[in-house]
Amino acid sequence: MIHTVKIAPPYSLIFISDAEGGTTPECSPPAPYWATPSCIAVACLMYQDGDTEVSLGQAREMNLARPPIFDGLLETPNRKVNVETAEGELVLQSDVPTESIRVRIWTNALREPDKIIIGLG
Amino acid sequence: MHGRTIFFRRPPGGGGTEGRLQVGAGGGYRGYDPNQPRVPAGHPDGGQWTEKGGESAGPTSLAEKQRSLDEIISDAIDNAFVGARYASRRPPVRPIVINGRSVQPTVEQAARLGQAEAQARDAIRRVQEIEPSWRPRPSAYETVEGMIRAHQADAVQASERLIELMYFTGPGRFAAEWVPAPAPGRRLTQAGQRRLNQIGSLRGCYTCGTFNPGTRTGNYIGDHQRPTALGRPLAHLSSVPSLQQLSRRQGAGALEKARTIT
Repeated sequence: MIHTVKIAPPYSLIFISDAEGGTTPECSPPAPYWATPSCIAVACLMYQDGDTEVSLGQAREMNLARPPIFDGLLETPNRKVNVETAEGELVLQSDVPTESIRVRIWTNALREPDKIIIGLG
Repeated sequence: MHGRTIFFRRPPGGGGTEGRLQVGAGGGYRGYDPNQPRVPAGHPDGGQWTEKGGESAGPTSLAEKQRSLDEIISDAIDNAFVGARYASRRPPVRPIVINGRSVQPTVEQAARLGQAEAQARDAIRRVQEIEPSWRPRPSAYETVEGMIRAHQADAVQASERLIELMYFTGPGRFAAEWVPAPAPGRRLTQAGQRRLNQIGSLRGCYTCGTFNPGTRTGNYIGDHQRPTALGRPLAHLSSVPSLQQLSRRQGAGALEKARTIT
């Protein structure tokens, strides 16, 4: 099942990590995303310019032909994936079956996307 | 091949202003005799020119001393100047007290210690200009090398704190004007954004002074002086123009702090 929200996250960032958090990447230099093994930060549309649509679900449900901007493993020792803002506000959450999960991220632009799709597994 | 002229200056109050020596094409100085004797070492005037062929140990009258000085300057290396007093011996290195014990550093250690201490003091002073109560974490040491490392660690701590203060709190050194921050969960109004862009185009980013906001729309980012995750009263917050990249760097730090608080 795919869950979608529209948000204007402060600092124009969303963070994907285990429910207990992770090691936040340093969001520099400019890039579409920044990652550590336990946390992925994804750049969004500048929050004053509008909302960003964020979707979270199983990757097989996404059915996207184009390659993701990110494809890697995320540590999930608590078997939960959180999507949160820089202020720690929980935006989306999903259970995962393992302590490490493959994450793929698609965006509609490399710079300030207003659509972000997060596929798990 | 032409000769060249070397100008020299008399000492203050010495009468006259300046003179010159003509250097011949062969490199020799007119009026200069390389065979002129000098006062022997060990004498207070040791090394100075003395009377040609004379027996005296040095110039005695004021006029003679004056001439002697001029001659020295005309023959001197480029960086020499009248009135300079050069140390004849290095002052002794004073012992320092570590944990109530007197320790004698070497000259080299004393130099490095002085340098590390000055760097630490300077870095701490810069932090305390923003955060007067800040102090580096105390460190324990028993040797001179340990003391040097402690000062170096203090300087590193202070530098890190300064970067943190510059990027995560405080109005930034280019902050001069601002607009009221919107309520939590709200964006700036169009008028507020226009005003923010005006300030940004006049003064640049409040942290670094750069004029390109780095956003797709060209809008400057209204950065709160303190991240709202820290729970400060929002009525006191203001938006100052910032850059996309600085804002995102702050975002990562803000999440770390939000996680620490919760």
